[in-house]
Parts: sequence; structure tokens; C-alpha cells
Amino acid sequence: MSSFLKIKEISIAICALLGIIMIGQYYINIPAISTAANYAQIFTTSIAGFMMIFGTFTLLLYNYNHFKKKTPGQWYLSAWTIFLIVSLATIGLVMGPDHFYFAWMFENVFINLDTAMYSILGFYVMAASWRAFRARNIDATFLLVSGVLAALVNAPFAEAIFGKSILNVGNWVMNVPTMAGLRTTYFGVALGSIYVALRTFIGKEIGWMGLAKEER
Amino acid sequence: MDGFSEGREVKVMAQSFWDRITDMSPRPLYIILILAIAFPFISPLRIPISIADYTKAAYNFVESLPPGSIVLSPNVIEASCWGECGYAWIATWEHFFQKDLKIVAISLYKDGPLLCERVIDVLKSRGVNVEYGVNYVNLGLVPGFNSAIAAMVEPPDGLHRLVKTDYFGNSINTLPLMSEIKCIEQVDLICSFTSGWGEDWVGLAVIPYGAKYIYSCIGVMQPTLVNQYSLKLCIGGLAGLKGGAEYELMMGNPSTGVKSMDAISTTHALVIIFIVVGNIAMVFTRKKGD
Repeated sequence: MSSFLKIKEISIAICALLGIIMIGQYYINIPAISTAANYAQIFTTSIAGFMMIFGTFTLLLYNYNHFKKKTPGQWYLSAWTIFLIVSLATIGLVMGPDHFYFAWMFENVFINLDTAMYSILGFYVMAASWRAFRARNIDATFLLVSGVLAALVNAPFAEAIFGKSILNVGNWVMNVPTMAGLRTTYFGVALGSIYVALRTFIGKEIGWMGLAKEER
Repeated sequence: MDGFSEGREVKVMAQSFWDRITDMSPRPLYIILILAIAFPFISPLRIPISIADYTKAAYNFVESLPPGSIVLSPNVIEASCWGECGYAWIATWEHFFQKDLKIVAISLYKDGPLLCERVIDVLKSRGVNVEYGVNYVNLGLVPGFNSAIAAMVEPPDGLHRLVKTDYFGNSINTLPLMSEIKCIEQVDLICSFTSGWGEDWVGLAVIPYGAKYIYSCIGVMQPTLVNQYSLKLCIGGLAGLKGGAEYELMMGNPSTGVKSMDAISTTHALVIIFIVVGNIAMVFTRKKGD
């Protein structure tokens, strides 16, 4: 247990030190701190790269387990996922990212499927506009009216039918109430981030270490 | 049947009609949506498009850059957003090449490097002069988002410390364009394409180093663009597909972006009609005490 606590404290100390360096370089003009911060940033990009590799292997392992156990309704999808990951990775690594096969798969398969997935949202919006966007109370009415105005501002037909006045009303909604809410949210997020960072540096926030509740 | 019974009959029929509307399956709506998207492509409506201030500002700034200026063009974008952001991307890069600007592309998300090549393929098919290593470089994927941005802008040579090879595995020291750019100090404009907030560059390049910044975001992120533009944190920007269409119009080269705006009009009109009908149905089907 004591050795475990030691590791936890080391992690917190490393985190706090890096945090102080990163904040310090903004306010203190000491070359050593700037250099350390730059190294820390480059380390972060390397770690993020490793995370992508790690994620790929985790995905492979997850799907391999399903395939091995012949999970009903899942194993053939897992087999297909494994086939796609292995084949694309092989083509990309062996033949290079500019090879015709790799580019063809991305251009003609991946982009189209990914775009199709995203565009499904349009159908949800359509169904929601029919069945869910209802002015049930005053709050919902405000939301609905501002949503309709936003839609009118972004669609050229509104200006063609109603003239510039509809744009002025829509732009007012965008520039005044929306902006007020947005900037308030920014302030909230910024203050919240500072609060969480300070809690993390002093070891009050340890969820990021991935410890179970009983280990904290 | 007396008059009273007749009235009741009509009332019951009307109520059941709105009930049926409320409980209707969404499948017919999907078919109407598909038709509303397809119709303008078959028979263009040619509805005039007004150009937003921030799009004009972005265009005018690019126009004011002297030939040979360097544009750092990062992207944080998924392939799924191509329909929304792709035309803005093509239009801006075409403008950069027309003005003899030099583009250094860098991707902070996995789909970016291949999307850059897709844009270049489209531009080459239009006869745009792209010489790899001379007026265009694709630095590929650099993971790490904010850390990567902070590292690459750092003077005196942050970009060279962070990136050693381009997307195709060439050492960046072998590319003539990369000898002209070492960090943010040599960058004349940052033009970012993002499916997110687009504010990373404001905090890490615009405020600390005074970099000139324009960006293109997806349509739903338009309020963030308006916010930054009104605070003068960015020179201008392009909001989604509409931004791409506006930029095409400013260049005098209306293309797929402009054609797609008719579909935006029909689908938005459809959404508004459905909202109105849905709310009328709610009023007619509302029970006492609701």
C-alpha cells in the first residue's frame, strides 16, 4: 500500500511540476523554463502518437476477443473490422500513404461512409422538427423562435422572400442574446478549467490517474 | 342527423386527423427530405446569396497579401465534415494559389493529411499550378492538439523541432518552402479548417504572437466565429457550406458550394414548415389540463 501511495504522489508531483512550467513560461521570461515547456509540448505530441497506436491495438484486441468467442450478432462485424484495420494499415505502411490503393480506399470508401453517417443527423433533425420541436411553454417558445430565426438567417430563401429585415432580426439574435450566452459560457469554462487545474496540481483531483474509488 | 350530431361528427374527424399527423411515421418525411435535397441539383433555383461581413473580411485580407506570403493552414477536421467544409477549403486554397501564396498544411486530426491531398487533386484538375515543396507542403498528422500548436509556433524554430518529415516521409530540410518557415514569425496568415471551436489558435498564436488568423468552421459553430470576429481576434472566417459558397461568389467562380446552397434553402424551409405544422398539430391535439 505504501509503495502504491508513493507512485500516486510521484504522479501528482510530475503533473504539478509540468503545470507550473507551462503556466510559468507565460508569465516569467526565463529561457530554461521556455525550453522545458517546449520539450514538454513535444513530449505530449509523442505521447498522443503512442495513444493512437495503443487505441488501434486495443480496438484489434477487443474485436479479436469477440471473433474468438463467436459472440452472436457481433463476431462477423468484428472480423470485418479486423480485416479493414489490418488491410489498410498494411497498404499504408508497406506501400506508403500516397499509394493508389490507400488513396482510393480513403477517397471512395471512407469519406463517403463517414459523410453518410454524419448526414443521418439531417433525418433526425427532420423527424424532431415534426414531433419534438414544440412550443410547450414560454422557454421552449423562445428556443423555437430563435432556432427558426437562425435557420432563416442561414438559408438564402428567407432573404429572397422576406427581404433584409429578416436578416437584421436574425443577426440581432446572433449578436446579442446568443453572444451573451456564449461569452458567459466561455467565462464559466475558463474559471472551471483553472479550478480543476489547481485541484489537480495539489492532488485533490485524482480521477485522471484512472484509480478505482477504493484506491483513491 | 340533427345539427348537433353533425357538429360532433366534424369535430371528431378533425381531431383524428391531427392525431394522425402527430403520430405519423417519420419515413414519409425522410422521402420528402431526400427529394428536397435532390431537386435543386436537378433544377437549380438560383436563389441570390448575400455575403457575410466576416467572409468579405477574410477575402479582402487574402487579397491584400503580397505574392510569396506564407500561409500556415492547419486542419482539425473529420472526413464526415467534408460536405460542410470541403468547398470552403477548396475555394480558399484556390484563392491562395491564384495569389501566388505558399501553403504549409498541417493536420491535427487523423483524416487531415488525405483531405489536403483531396483538395490538391481538385485544384490540379482545375489547372491550378501546385508545385510540391515550392508553393505547397503537406506536413501530415501531428497529434496532441493544443500542445502541438504551442510547440510549432514557438520561436525561433518550433516547427522544425516538432516536425522532421512531411506526410510522404521526405525530410523537411529537403523541401525549399520549409527553409522559409521555422516558426510563427515567418507566417503571414494562419488559415485553419475546423469542425470544432477554432479558438486554439487564438490563445496560442494570435494573442501571444499577434498572428493574423482566419478560419473556416462547420455551420453550427458560426456563433463562435461571430464572437471572435466581433472581438477582432480573427480577421474573418467562413461559416460552413454557406461560407464556402460566399467565398466562391467573391472569387467570381461559383461552383459546387453555390449549387449546394439551393439545397440548404429547400431543407431549411422544410424544417420550418414541419415545425409549424407540428405545433399546429400540438394545439389541436392538446387535451384539457396539458
